[in-house]
Amino acid sequence: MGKKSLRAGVLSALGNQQIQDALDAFTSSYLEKRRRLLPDVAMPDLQTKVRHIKEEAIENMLELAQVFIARAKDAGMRVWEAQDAEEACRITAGVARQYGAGLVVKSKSMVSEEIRLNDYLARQDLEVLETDLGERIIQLAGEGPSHMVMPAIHKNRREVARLLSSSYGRSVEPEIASMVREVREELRQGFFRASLGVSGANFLLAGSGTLVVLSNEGNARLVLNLPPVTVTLVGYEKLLPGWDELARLLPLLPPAATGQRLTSYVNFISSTRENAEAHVVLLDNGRLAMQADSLFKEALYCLRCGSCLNVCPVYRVLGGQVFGHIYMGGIGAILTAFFHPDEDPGLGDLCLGCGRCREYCPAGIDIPGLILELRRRQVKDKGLSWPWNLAIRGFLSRPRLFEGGLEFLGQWDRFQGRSEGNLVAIPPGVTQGRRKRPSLAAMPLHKDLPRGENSSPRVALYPGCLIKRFYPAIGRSVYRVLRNSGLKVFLPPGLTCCGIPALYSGDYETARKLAIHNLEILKKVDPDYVVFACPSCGMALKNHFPELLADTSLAGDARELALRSLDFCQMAVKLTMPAPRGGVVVAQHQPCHQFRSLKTGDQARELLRLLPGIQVVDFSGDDRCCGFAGLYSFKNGEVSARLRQEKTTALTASGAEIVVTDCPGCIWQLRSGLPSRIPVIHGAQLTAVAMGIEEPSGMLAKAWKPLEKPNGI
Amino acid sequence: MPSESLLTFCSRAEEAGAVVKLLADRISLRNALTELVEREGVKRAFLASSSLLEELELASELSSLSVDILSGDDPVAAGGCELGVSSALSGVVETGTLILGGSRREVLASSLPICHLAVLCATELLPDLARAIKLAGENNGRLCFVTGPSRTADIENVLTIGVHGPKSLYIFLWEGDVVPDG
Repeated sequence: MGKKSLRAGVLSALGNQQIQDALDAFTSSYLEKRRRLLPDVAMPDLQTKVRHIKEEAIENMLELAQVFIARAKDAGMRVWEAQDAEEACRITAGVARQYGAGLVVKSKSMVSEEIRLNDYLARQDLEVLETDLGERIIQLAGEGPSHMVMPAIHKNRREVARLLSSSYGRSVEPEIASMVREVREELRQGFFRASLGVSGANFLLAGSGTLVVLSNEGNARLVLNLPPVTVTLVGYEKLLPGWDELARLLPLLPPAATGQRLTSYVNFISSTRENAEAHVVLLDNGRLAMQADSLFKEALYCLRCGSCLNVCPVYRVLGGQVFGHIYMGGIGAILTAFFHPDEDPGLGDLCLGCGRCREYCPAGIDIPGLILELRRRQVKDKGLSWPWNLAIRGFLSRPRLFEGGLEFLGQWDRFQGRSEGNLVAIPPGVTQGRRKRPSLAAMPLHKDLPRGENSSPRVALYPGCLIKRFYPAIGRSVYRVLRNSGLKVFLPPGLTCCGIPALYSGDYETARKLAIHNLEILKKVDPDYVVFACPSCGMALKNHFPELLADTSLAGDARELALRSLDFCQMAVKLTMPAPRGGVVVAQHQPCHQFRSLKTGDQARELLRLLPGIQVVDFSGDDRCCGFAGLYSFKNGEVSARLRQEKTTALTASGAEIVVTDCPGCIWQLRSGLPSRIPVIHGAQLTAVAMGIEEPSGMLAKAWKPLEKPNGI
Repeated sequence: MPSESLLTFCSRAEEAGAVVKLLADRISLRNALTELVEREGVKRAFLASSSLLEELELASELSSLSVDILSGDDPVAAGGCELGVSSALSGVVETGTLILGGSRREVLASSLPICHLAVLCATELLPDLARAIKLAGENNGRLCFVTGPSRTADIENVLTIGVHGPKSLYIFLWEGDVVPDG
């Protein structure tokens, strides 16, 4: 499946109401149930504990395998090691044929899907019966799973009834309980007849040669106990040293996976049955390469719980058949790169980089970071596609050309009579989905603010492209608010793009070049502080510059700059607030880069609490990405638009009079979706008005209720 | 008055969908069995063997309710019964979980009939999952932790109880006297 069919899949999924409703219902109920058992605040601590165990287990993966093999052998099990999918299939088919298997019954195993076992066995004239209800449904449909735990969640009861009717050769009532009964009866016969059972395993305990298999339906227990021969397929990464480690990990899996305290069944198998054979196939298929990769090693910490899918804003609107290739969602993008590199449809392109998955992953795997690394490696290998090569390498990486080009575009917008706030059409074909852009401001920020300062405390403003050229009003508010408290804010000349668009496209070379350009200017200027009002630029200053320049002579300077760089809200919460001048009801949208990456969200929230006259209302999904995600909205406009729609629906329903958010990208996105009666402004602009430093203007003036209004309120 | 942990076990197990009965004497046992047999329409029962079941004379209790008793090794026969009876090795208060052994008859009784009755001594409860896992670790055989009846939400995320495993799970906690082993 290539890029074109990925896009076709995206459009199809977005248009499929059935999938939208099913995923929406599931993901909301999941989070509610999960939070009762694993509260959000407990996650960081939990992640540390899980990582500690998995780090060691993965480090010693192959040694644990040898211990497991020896113990399992003592227990009478036969353990095989398979280097790749082909070998694993061959081994399984070999075991099947040795025992004259006609019918094979299967319980849930992601590995079996990874190696495409069913197709292989079918080619060997072996009949395979999936016994997990969801797997059975998609087996009948001839489709791939749309979710790791609930594979057929995209099928409604009528579709299921049609599939069963077709299979049984008689009419089946589209009533859920009765269909489950019918499937129970049908598969029952399979359990009795089968000569081979194939299962997966959730954990392997090396010290005791134990298989640990969780299930809710009861099919794993039957697959493991009825057929005379069983084969359990497991990836090496499932190996744990022993019961102590299991005791710490097992209680996390059901809550993270489905919001249950425990699955209905947890099977522990440390011995073989009489007159029966048990086989285990340990699979590599790319896992050893991951283990050897210092960055991707942590992807092996994955417990296959599916949390990342369940909280992913993109997965939620696309489902796993589109945002997946056997393995799904964010972790799927990473695993596919190692397990199925030749088939990789470029799932990573669908990742917003919002970081929500990383928050909920029990192992705290840096999924967006790893996806970015995949992109970096790909660009290093193959370069950017020519349009992006032109835009980034050709244009963005050359500050004089880039700034000159934007200057020209600004003049053009002025010539066309456009002013700050107008939306301008983007010529067709330039982007995939995004149709409008804000007009460039007539007076960009760098022409407005002082270029230097002599007296302390000297605070350099790093505005970033969006604030400098499109939304200078934000920069003016930052300037005025901080000046009002005696901070000498100025905008050093010569600064250019922070390089984040290049970085997130995988072009680290350009990102490094721009980092050096900006760092050298700031180093020369030597401010006491650098303030930023765009969290993506903030990430560049605080995280990416030091990372990009770690091996250069500028490493120390980059670290120093990072220490001196502050988010506007971090400074604003220290200001002395005057008495209220008026009031307004506000909903606060949380920019991903501010709340999750920079972690200055607490200050952003605190600022609203401190500002006089501001009343904050909650709204659902306040922590979900708005869909802008930098260049994402230009590359995946339809997904971006869908996420924006969900966000704006929630915001309009919240009763807020204005929306405040500290990211110009989010502002761009939300302004293009919200009705004009609900203005979207930056926290700095709200601060300026609330503190009486600026008068409210435009739509904000309509929403703002001043206290000394002559006619009273 | 049952202890707090016993009550917690009961409520956790019920939350998971099991029917839990605390039984202190043979009369309550008989009543509970009668209720079960009637409610579940039991005509045939498959029994695993255990000293507790023998002591409580489950087989004859059920026979007196006109239930045919089967045992043996045949899964088809077990599957043909409305009720499977086995005793649990232990239970877990924290999660309302039963710890079942892995002998063939225990597996057949607890996984094939549509209704499973698990009997265990109220004194055999472990406080939490951590301790249960430790016990499993010492066992080194084949065990199963069972929490409630079988379930799925695979169709439309609608919870359906009773898939391949039992549709109803009854837990009889025996608080009466037990003759010690040996």
